Amino acid sequence: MSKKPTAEVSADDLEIIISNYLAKRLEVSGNVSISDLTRIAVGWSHETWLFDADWLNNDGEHQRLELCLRRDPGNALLREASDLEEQFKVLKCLEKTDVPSPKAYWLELDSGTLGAPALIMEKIPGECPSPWRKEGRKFYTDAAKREVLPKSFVDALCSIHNVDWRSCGLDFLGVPAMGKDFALAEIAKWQSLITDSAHPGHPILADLIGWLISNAPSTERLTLVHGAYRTGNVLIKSDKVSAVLDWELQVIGDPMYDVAYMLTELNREDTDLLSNVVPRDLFFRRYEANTGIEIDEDKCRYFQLLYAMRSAAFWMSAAGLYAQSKNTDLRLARTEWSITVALERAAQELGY
Amino acid sequence: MTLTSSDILKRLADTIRNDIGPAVSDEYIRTQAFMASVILSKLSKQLDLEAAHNLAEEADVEELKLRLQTVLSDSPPSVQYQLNNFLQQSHIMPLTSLLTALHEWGVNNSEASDALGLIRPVLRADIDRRMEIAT
Repeated sequence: MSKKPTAEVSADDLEIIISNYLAKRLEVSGNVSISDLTRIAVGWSHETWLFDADWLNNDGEHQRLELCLRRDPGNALLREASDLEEQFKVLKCLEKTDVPSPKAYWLELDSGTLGAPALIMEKIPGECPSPWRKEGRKFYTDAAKREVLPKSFVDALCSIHNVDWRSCGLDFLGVPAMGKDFALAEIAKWQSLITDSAHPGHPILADLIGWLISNAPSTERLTLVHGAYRTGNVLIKSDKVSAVLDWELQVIGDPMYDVAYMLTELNREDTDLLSNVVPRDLFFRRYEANTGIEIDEDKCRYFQLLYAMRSAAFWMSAAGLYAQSKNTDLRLARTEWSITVALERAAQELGY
Repeated sequence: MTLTSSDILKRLADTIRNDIGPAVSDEYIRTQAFMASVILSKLSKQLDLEAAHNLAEEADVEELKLRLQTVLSDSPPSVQYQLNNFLQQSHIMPLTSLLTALHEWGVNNSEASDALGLIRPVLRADIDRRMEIAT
């Protein structure tokens, strides 16, 4: 965990800002005490801060909320693709569903209120071991042996794909027409990010995009799609998924887009377990039984190539933010070489 | 004895990784130090390999130019335009526009497909060279 000040505010100042804000929001006449304010030093998009708020209500009774603040520092990766207002609306819609997700409390788009556009949501108990670290992978390997988390992890994905997205209001995300619209819209979205990055790219990317456009599959069933469903993006408590996080890339689209992300080798390391935790046969059996959706492996292979394009677009955007001096985080500068890795993978998938 | 630019960058990277980074207590700044070390190492490698990579790229491009002119002699104006642009260059980047034009023409077309078959090994060789630095 880091206490590094953001460009706009230090942790100490933020504590005061949050305290004053909550006193007003909760209509508390006394002080709202903020404790354990910690910035999570993961993620490249919005800043994430965890804290506890304690106060006495007007009857003198002690009250407590455990909260999570997400702030838009104005120079984050993917901020154009996923704004806080959309995240807030999605979380509000999900409160009416079975998807394990945090309750969204407040959204402030005015930078004057919390120092930057921000949303405050429930801090759900649980841990989020990184699948990219040795100790994280051990956590998932051990959990797989206990056989509870793999089922819960699949069930949480099924709950997303089973959401009645129209009735809970998620159609505000945009609804593609049946047919090739979904795949073509995703290609266009990532092409736009590539253009905005002002990165020169590489001819392999043009080859990949040409191939993706020519081979776009037809989508005949639309569901809510998380867009990045893997270990590392869910909270886990007592071997069960307590919350699905990172609602930044969600769309109404083809459920195979998420399934392809489950199946890809990119989301596991030194194991055959999908996303480091789910046996493949268990996933197929349980997913198909719980959703009634048959897994289309050919379509998944297509979407894995689309993910190669998306990865390249992410890294180009990140490298672009650094090159244009919009963000000084050296992790972004480092992604210049990640573009090469994503394109090498794409070339392999295209057969060369 | 004079150090090359590549050697200096490599030594800087090692110092930051082994001496400076571990002495930093703030996690964010320590990560930045580690990233600086990684980037300097890659730049060092890039400097080392740059001349050889450029020569290899130019050789590949010259050979590809000759072969593409034959294969694409009857291609539509959009492809011809991008081919001509490529023929005036000595590096692979103009292949981006040519590939877009080929895909728009349609890779079911035998000439376009043949052209792709010639271009892809050149791209493979280029990405392999870049991977020497990236990984």
